[in-house]
Amino acid sequence: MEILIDAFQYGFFIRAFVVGLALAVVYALLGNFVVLREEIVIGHTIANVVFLGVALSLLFSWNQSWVMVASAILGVFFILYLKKNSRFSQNSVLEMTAQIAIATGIVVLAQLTGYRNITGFLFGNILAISNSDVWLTSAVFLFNMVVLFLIRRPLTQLVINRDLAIAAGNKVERINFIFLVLLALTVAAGIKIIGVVLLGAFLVIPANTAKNLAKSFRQMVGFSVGISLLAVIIGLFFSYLFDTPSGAMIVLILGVILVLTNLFRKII
Amino acid sequence: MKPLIEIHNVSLRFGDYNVLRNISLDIMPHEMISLIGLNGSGKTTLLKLMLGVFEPDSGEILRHVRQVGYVPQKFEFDRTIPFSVSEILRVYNRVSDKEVEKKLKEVSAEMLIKKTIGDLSGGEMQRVLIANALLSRPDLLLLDEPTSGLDMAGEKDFYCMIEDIHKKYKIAIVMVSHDVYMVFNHAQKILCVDHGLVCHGHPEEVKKHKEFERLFGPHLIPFKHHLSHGDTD
Repeated sequence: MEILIDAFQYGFFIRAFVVGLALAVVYALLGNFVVLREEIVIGHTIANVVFLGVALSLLFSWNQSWVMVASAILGVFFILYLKKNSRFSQNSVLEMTAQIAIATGIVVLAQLTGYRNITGFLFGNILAISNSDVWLTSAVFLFNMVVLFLIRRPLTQLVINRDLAIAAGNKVERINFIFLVLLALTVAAGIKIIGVVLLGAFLVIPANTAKNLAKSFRQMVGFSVGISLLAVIIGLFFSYLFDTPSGAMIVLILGVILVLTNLFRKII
Repeated sequence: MKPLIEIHNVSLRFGDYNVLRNISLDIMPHEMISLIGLNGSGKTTLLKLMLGVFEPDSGEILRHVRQVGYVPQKFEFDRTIPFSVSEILRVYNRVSDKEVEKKLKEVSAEMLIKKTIGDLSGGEMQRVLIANALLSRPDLLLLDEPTSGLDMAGEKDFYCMIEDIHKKYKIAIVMVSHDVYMVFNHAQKILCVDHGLVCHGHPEEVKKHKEFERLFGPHLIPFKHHLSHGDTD
């Protein structure tokens, strides 16, 4: 217990804790809509585009935070453009975009001279969270919470059935775009702590675990937030204790919760 | 009286495929219209043009309708998501639990209020979707093959329920249907679609139209059989 309290003596851990808790709530809330839309790979796709952004920022020494946000939003535009101007299915668009982005990112990284450790970007690193990341995440958290609150009804209508949402008088393309921008900002804010590879899992595991337990959608949303917070708190402490990548530890804890709740679902 | 929807010379293509050509029609208040046509004739597309899901490639659609109620042919949705009937109805309509209960009772589905969507049968789902459409207080109700998946008895009950709704709420109803027999017994006006509007009017007029005979000739034997036995219910 003492060692856990000790963790809060370190600025990097407090920053990671604050960022982690804020992201846990936003990822869980957005994850419910991602699961409803059956677009499980979308978080992974945007994360890969952000990886390309990170690679470019390293090559050209650009401001990393801004490049991550800009690349995530450009990724959304690319996905929407490809979907509108091709015959590809939504899942094909997402997977192809993800692979093209990661391939381009690797080619860009290969141009860098000298050793670059990118493990933190791939699997998350609590030591990498700076004060500017705390500000970026806080802004993303507040913006997401306000916008999600405002669009919660039309967004839910849209993800359940597009035609019924149109009948209800919604501008569905606008709602869809706003949702994707929220998702892009959230992914960009989560890259350092969760990592490119594991970010998709952090988005969809809480919502899917909650779906398994809930008897209503309201319950599903509540459970997903609770599960996500629990995984972040335990995951960050374990990451600190065992000196492991934070994203990997959080997703591992999410995996344990998923398996346990599935095993005990009938009893619960 | 001003039409709820005016469709002027509307055409729509999907890629190289001409789905609808030069359609012009008005939907007037309180009308009960059936849209008939063979599979792939453009019935659902025309209904979705009225709804605003599609926009025409040429021509124009003027919507003077205050609120449209819509019942899709299929409710494509992940059935493992634990949405209760009450939750679905309250997501689409800002109403109280009491209003939800009252509307479900009107469509004989009050027992479904706490059920999850995944547990509903096709017929139950259709009733929930009708309740959903009515809760939005529409002046136009668009129904896309609402009886597909129902048996004969269920289909007859459904048409009677739609007639009751039409009388009670005095709203316009446009219903896509594949069942010519039911349509001729229940519709006040028929629109016969074959990528264009090939004939329309009162059922008695449409029945004699050569385009109707051309399209439905082989399918009319059971229909004529029903009529020759004086079964007009």
